[in-house]
Amino acid sequence: MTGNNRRPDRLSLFPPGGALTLEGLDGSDTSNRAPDTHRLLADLRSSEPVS
Amino acid sequence: MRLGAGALLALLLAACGSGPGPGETALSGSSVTAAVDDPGSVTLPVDPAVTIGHLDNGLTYYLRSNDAPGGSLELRLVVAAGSLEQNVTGSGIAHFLEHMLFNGTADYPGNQLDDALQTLGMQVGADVNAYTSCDATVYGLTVSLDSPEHVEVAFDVLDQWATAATLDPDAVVAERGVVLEEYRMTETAQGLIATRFDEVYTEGSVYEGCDPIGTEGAIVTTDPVDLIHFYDRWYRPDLMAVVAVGDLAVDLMEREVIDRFSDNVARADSPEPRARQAGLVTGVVAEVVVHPDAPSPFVSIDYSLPDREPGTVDGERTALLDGLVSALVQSHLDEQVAAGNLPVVRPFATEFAYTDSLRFMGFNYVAKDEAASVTAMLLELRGLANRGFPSDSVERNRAAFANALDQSLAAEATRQDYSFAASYVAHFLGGADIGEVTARHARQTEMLESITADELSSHFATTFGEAAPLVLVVGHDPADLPSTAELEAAVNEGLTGTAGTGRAETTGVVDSLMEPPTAVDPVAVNRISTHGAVEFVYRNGASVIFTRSDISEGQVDLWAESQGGWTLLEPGSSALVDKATGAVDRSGAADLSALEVEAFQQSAGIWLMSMINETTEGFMGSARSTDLESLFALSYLRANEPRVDGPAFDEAVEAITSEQRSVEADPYAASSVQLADARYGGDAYFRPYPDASQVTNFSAEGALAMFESRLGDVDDLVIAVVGDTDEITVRRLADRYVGTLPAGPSDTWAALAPEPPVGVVTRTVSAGANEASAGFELLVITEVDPTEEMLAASRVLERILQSRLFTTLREEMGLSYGGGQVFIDLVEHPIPVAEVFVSVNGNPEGIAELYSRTLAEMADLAASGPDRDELERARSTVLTDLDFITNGDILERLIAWGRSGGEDSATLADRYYEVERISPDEIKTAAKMLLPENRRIEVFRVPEGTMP
Repeated sequence: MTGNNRRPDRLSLFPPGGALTLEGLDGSDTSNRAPDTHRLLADLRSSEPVS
Repeated sequence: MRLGAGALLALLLAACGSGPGPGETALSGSSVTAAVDDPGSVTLPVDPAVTIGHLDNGLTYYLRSNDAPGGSLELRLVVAAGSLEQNVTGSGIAHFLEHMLFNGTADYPGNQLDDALQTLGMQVGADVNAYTSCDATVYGLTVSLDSPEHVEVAFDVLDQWATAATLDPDAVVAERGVVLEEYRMTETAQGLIATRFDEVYTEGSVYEGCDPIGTEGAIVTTDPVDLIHFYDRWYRPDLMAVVAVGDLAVDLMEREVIDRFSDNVARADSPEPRARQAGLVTGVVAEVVVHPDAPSPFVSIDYSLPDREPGTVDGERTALLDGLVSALVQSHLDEQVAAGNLPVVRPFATEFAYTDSLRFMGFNYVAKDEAASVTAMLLELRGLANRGFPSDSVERNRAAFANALDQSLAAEATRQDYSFAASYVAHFLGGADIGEVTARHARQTEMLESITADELSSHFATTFGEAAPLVLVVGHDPADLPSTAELEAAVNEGLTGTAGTGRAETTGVVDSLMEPPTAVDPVAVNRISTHGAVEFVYRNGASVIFTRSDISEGQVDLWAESQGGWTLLEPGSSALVDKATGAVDRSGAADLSALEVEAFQQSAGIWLMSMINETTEGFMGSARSTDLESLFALSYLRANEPRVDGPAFDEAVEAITSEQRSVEADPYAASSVQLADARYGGDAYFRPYPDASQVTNFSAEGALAMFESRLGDVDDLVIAVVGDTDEITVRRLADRYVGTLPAGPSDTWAALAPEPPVGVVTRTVSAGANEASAGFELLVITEVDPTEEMLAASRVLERILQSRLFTTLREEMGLSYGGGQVFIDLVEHPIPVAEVFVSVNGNPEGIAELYSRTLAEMADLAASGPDRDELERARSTVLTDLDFITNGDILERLIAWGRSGGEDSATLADRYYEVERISPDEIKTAAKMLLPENRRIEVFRVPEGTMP
């Protein structure tokens, strides 16, 4: 296997957004997965006092 | 590259089984109990939490209500037709059509779709994208649920893609340049080498010759009639699925699907897609692949694995056996390298899927004598297959898998929308397992316990008995590589020579890394109200800041940082710091061997890396909530009793060799060297890669000394801890493992960095193989006060410039696939500056046009500022980004608070509101300041001997 140099077997319409790397530019997979996220505003809104 | 916890999980969750293919019977979330003779072929039950349904027209849908991350919705339109369905193999029609669905539909003519989605906060590339493979074409949207309108628009866009492409001939002609640019980017040396691997993997299968991009000639002559024909034949309800996962009630999603997709019909005849089966690759391959721009030489050995039925009882067991076997082989190879029995560096073993039906067990590594190493490796593997796996190694790896299974169960509570969506796409296309997690955990845990060392050994022996080695040696200089005849002879010797007779396994089982030190109390405990955090301050100068986060259930993340960095080391050390930290990270610690530490890390699911940056040094790590103590203990050991072992040092030397080769062969690496040289005026301050004398003098002792001088003691170390744990636990661990670290002399970084250059500095490097890496980089450095206002303005400005370059360089001019990548960073130390970095990749004959247009857009923004619509679109996408936070984002804020002694107290919410608040005038002012016309470093990647 070509390891890090492996070309993906699929073509993306656009380069992936966010933390784009040069490896990402040529389409190769650069990470196992994105980190988990949580919605900030959901917390802020739920902690706002209800009048 | 090793199997970390993530890789183990990936193996465990790997696609298993045959569920409903396109157009088959609805499952509607119930388990399937097919009456079959062979219990192994029984399909695994589907998770009742997913609603699977079919419309009368044959369209399938998968709907799931899920609250991680919350306030968001993942949508996919899956078309179970890809490049394999083309009339002509290399036509690239399936892929070209995918592009055209963004260039005009009935409701979104021209390029209106991009603008409409950006207005809803979606960023092209990140939140809006599509892909084409040989098997399928998949479109995706990530929608923030700020209003019901977002949901309606998003489902409407999916329906537009399914039914309403306009495929205007003028738009087809206009898109050719973009597709050609995408084609050109596959023609790098690495792309061409990968193509050769593809050919080896697919020979004789249905995938042979399938390359979604197509040939250059076919792209240039793409006929709109062929696009329409493909669209009408293959984009039809019985081959489609709609996937929706997110923070919305299932009945709402179902109503959207029924309302919009029920009236869709097949627009032409309905041919059957080609069968996706692929057999074993059984012919021996021994090939030397030479390209003048190839990276540093490496060896690849692959073995074809039999097709398995994903989503069935047997398929699941095979997946588990394959995963365990690759982990066991990896352990064995590491042990042989550590014992000096195998003449290779950083062997890597894994099983991988080229497509659902083409799977391999693969190895790659680096060796001084490639031919001899191939013989040694094949004999080693044959010997292992003959002898079987030792039971202690099986037990160790079984325990690591069991722990990873437990973690996957814990993490399910915050499993993200996109992850569910990906598994439903895989289920529709290939029948992957989408079972309920608790049942899967119980089933696989039981299966793990029932798998014996004999069964694993027999599985490995059978795999190697049925498949032939596919051996490829890759490099750039034929004089330094074996000839094909030599490689063939080496492979033959490996297949017929006397297999290894067995060697002692050397890895012991380690239950804990160390006895905990005697705890010390903090000298102060401070509440940080702005961040809802607590700080423990210790007498040695170290502090620990903790806040709880439920973003990732069962996981805790850590980031530690102190001040100094390589500015306090010998000049030129910047080139070696990551080799030194890497060598320590891959070695043992105290009296534990590297293999013992690694086996322990795998079993405990902890990850830790050290780093020495320009003005800081520290650690980053992650642990399961149940094993946080192990992460603290490992950090303690790395700081207190680090080691650099032989194999880890060899890997560091290999990394240096590989980098040196990159600078020669990779235009991007060459460009980064020129940028650094221009920025710092030579290498007196900063050197990106080691010079010849550094390489000659690099030693394990020197690497260890470099590490210890920055990371061996603490003076102002700030350790931030964020995740699914509690204050009492963190306090207990900090008292033991942080308060007891040795105190060192107080220091801060040295302010030695030269001022950025004035005027325009221009450099050129080669555009590489086929001029496929043609383009340029721009770096504009401006001294600024790095305030929160400036940060907010620069974030929006970054998005505006990126969007402008996408629209002009890609959509309007058709000379670039990616448009321009724009990054604006505010750097606080050692000199407070804003760095605007622009990277453009494009047609080598259009570099001058791309360059002048890029400068013109920057000048226009500096002179006139953004227009109101583009500003609001950019603001909308930045706000969406800032709204979805990670543990890493929280860690960054805690570290900034600690590093500044509380002065930098901005929270993530402050940053969100700053962007929401910032005025057009402030952005205009920032543009004027950060995009000057007469000051920049520029590096062109151009064909040899040319210059715009």
